Parts: sequence; C-alpha cells; structure tokens
Amino acid sequence: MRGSRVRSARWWLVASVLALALAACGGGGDDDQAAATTAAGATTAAGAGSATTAAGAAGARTVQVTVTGDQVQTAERRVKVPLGADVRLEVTADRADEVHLHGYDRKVDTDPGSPAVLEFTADVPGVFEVELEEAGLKLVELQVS
Amino acid sequence: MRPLAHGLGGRADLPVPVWLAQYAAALVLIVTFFMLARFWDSPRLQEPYRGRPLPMGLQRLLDAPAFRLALRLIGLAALLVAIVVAALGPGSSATNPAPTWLYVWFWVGIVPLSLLFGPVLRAFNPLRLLARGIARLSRRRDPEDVRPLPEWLGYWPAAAGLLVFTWLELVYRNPDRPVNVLTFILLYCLVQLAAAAVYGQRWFGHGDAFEVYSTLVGRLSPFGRRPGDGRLVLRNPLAGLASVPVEPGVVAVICVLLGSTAFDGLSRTQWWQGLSGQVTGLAYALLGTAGLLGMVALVSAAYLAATRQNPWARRGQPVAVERRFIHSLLPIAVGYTVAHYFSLVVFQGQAGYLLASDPLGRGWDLFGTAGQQIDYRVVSTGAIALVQVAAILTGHVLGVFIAHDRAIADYTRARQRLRAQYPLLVVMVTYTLGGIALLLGA
Repeated sequence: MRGSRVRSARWWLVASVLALALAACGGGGDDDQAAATTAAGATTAAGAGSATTAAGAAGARTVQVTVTGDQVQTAERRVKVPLGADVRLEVTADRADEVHLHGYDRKVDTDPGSPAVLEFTADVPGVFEVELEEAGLKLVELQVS
Repeated sequence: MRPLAHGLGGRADLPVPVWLAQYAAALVLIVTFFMLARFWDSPRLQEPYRGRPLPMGLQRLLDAPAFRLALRLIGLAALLVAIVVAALGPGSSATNPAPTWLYVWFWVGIVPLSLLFGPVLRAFNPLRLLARGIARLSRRRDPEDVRPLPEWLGYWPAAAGLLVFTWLELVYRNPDRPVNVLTFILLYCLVQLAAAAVYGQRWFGHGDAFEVYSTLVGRLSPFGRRPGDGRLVLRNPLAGLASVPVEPGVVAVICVLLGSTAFDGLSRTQWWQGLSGQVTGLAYALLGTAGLLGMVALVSAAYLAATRQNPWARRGQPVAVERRFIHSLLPIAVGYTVAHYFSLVVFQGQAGYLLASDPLGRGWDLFGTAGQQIDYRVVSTGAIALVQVAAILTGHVLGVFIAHDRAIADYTRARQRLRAQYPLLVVMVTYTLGGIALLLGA
C-alpha cells in the first residue's frame, strides 16, 4: 500500500514539474520581446552623445569609438547588427596604433586627431572583437546575427 | 590579441536562443524526475563488464611492442615539431600554428579521440618514451620499481596540472603567444620527466594531467580492456564508465574539469566581459584567478554537499561516497567540454593546418594552404547552438542514469536508495541549468 502511495506521489511531482516547465516556455517569449524593445529605445536615446551607435543615412550602421589613454568610450559594449548589414566603424584614438576586427581580420591604422574608418559588410555570423592591437585594448564587440 | 575566451580565437558564439534554452531546461527537469519515478530496480552496470572480444589478430597487432613504440615515436615527433615551431616560428598566433596545435588540436582533440578509442594519450605519450630512455641511459634499475607512488597522492598531481593549464588558457592575458606556449610545454615536460625519474613509469598514469584526462574520458569509449585477462573488447560505454577508479584525487580532477569549463562559460558572458574590461594588469589576473578558483570551489562544494554530507548516502560503504558517485559527473564534464569547444574546433581548428604550410614564417607553402583564411561558414550558428544544448543535455541524462544505477547497486533499502540520490540530482539539475544559463548569457 505504502509503496503505491509513494509512487503516485512521485507521478504527481512529475506532472507538476511538466506543467511548470511548459508554463516557463510559454511565458519567456514576451519578456524577451520587451527587453529587445527597451534596448532599441536606449540606442536611439544615446544617439546625441559623443560616442554613438546609429543607423547612417545610406543604411550603413555606424559604430563610433573614442579612445583616450586606457579609457574606451562607446554607446554599447556589444553592438548587435543584422547579418548582411553594412557597418561603418569609426575609431578616434589619441595615438598611432592599429584597429583590428577579429574574425573578419580587417585592420586600419589610427592617427591622433582624425578618426580611422573601417567599412565592411557583416556577412559572417558570430561575436567578434574589435581591438586596438598594440595597446591590447578591447574597443567593442560586434554581434552579427 | 586578447581572445574572447578559451585561449585562442577571434570569434565567439552567439548567445543560445531563449526558446532553445527553455526547451532544454524543461527537458532536463522532465528526464530527471522520470528517473526519480524509478525505471529499474536492479543495477545494470556494476558487474565487471564482459563485452564482445575484438579479433585476436587485431589485439596482437595493437599489443605488439613495435607498434606501441611506433605510436610513441609519432607522439615524440609531434612534440618536437611543436617545440621547434613555437620556438623558431613567427611571434603571433595569427601566423604561428603552435598555439592552435596546443589549445585546439591537442587539448580539445583529447576528448573526441579518447571518447572513440579509449586512453589514446597513454598510447602516444612521448614523455613515457623519454623517461624510459633517460632511465636506461643513466643505468638505473627498471623505472617501474624505482619507488612506489604514495597511496594518498592518487590523482592529486593531475588535478594540479589541469588547474595550471586551464589557468594559462583562460586567465592569463596572452596564452596564445608562441613564447608562452613554448615555455609551458618545456616546463611541463621538465616537471613530468623529473617526477618520472623518482617514481618511474607509474607516475604518468597519475601525474600527467593530459594522460589522466584522456584515460578518464576514455572510460566512456566503446573499446576497452576486459578486467582480468586484458582482452580488448567492444563494450557498453556506460559499463566502462562504471569502472572509473576511486583513488584519492579523482574527485578533484573531475571538479577542476567541470569548474574550468564553467569559468570558460562565465568569462564569455557579457556580464563578465564588462567586469573584466574595467581592470588591467595584475587586477585582471587576480580577478580571473578568483573566477576560476571560485567556479571550481562552487562545483566541488555542491558535489561534496550532495554526497559526503548526505547522511543517507554515507551509511554502509567501504569507499568514500564522493568517490563512488564521481563517475556520474564525468559525462556532464564531457558534455560541457563539447558545448564550449565545438565551434572553436571547427573554426579556429582550421588555422592549425592553414598556418602549418609556413610554420616558421619563411614564405614556404608546404601544403598549399598558405595565405588562406578561416572559413567561418562551414557550420551555421543554429547548428552550433543545437550541438551545445544537445551536448549538455546528453551529459546530464547519462549522469543521472549512472548515479541512479550506482545508488541501486550500493544500497539495499529502497528509501536509502532514493534519499542517496535526491541531493545529487538537485546538484546535477543545478549544474545543467547553470550551464544552459551561461550559454544564454554569452
């Protein structure tokens, strides 16, 4: 008798966990969407600052980074761009160095004063690091998806 | 170059989609609780396994001294090539293949090769060959019986070795510089050969971190030696797993493996990247060290709490309970490893042969691959996410399965059997959900 009660209690446990799991699956989607909207709003709001991430006039996504000493200024640490988008990376550094976009393996030299510009099509998915090579400074991450 | 994670590589994985993570988490809970509902009542894996013997001719070839010598000579040649290329080749991992060979081909390659064929590193280990040569040259007695390994030492040296290597890989700022790769290889060989001069060949089975790793993972291989007569057999991989040794330090080895992959996952999250991006120099190294040790400590504490501190599991066992159940964490550790390194192997792994065409930076083109770029499109990001989640899930299912079987074998009373399992199941669910959460935050 006792064994069967223990067993049926266990099946109740299984059933309730199942229900819980399904509820979790159903609930998550909305949160995710809400979070995405908020993030998009934040990006637009940051548009007026000195370090900007915004959609350019020609449809190219522009990512601006300013480096002073060890300080890196960007609107976002990780910039999300859709697969296939044209990206324009502008790095203003206070020294001569080299900007390296890993994975795509694109490089451009920086010069104090004028921004270094790297234009490319984001056609490889993944997360890629943009680094100031000599200084070993991480500038920003590019999430292409 | 400052890699995003695991020592090397310019590309990291996209976060796993939320829906995929949710389905995975749901599946984990369902599988685990069905297991609690008890599908079988008598142990299936605890007997010494019998297996199906391989043809005698094949065994004679594999066991022939000349064949075994040949394998270790191949290992020695690979080691020497790696040392020469690391020492004399170009000074960056973007042009020198040695770092890719160490962190991708060797370190990650150990897992699939051992899963398929068993303890491959023992077969190829050039250090065993070198140690034997040194002992013979110095006219010492047969190195087998120089001095026995102290019993308490067990696998602790291997656990320490794995911790040092994963620290170099995951914490140190420039693990991929060829000069650092060279330094590590040389120091490692030196320490191993010195220890082998004291303890003989037996040392490698306990103290060579990579050989111990390979042999442990090899327990999950479909090929094995039958206990007793040493006959090579085709076996149920899970039966092999049940034969994981219970010597001291085995818990530490597996907890270091699990903890370091957990830290690898943690260090890839945007949260950690933001944290570590604010510090430089010594503070960066300290933060990373704390993170690595913290994850290993967390994993170990959870496991020990569920086994050693579990009053129902403690009763009536000759071997410490945490060692009796540690084999159930091995598939989980392997699952994590596959999840974390899969994309590194398919992408960065290519650099190992692309760069091999001109290993010394002299403008050679030995294999016709010089100047070619890594093809980042061989596997889609969706496939990577699926492999990651599937690997973690498979590890979890096998772990739960194995723990259940061991509990049934070790305890006779029905209630004790269940209560011995509950805390461990909670820990496994926590590990798995934690692992999925780390993939989500990448």
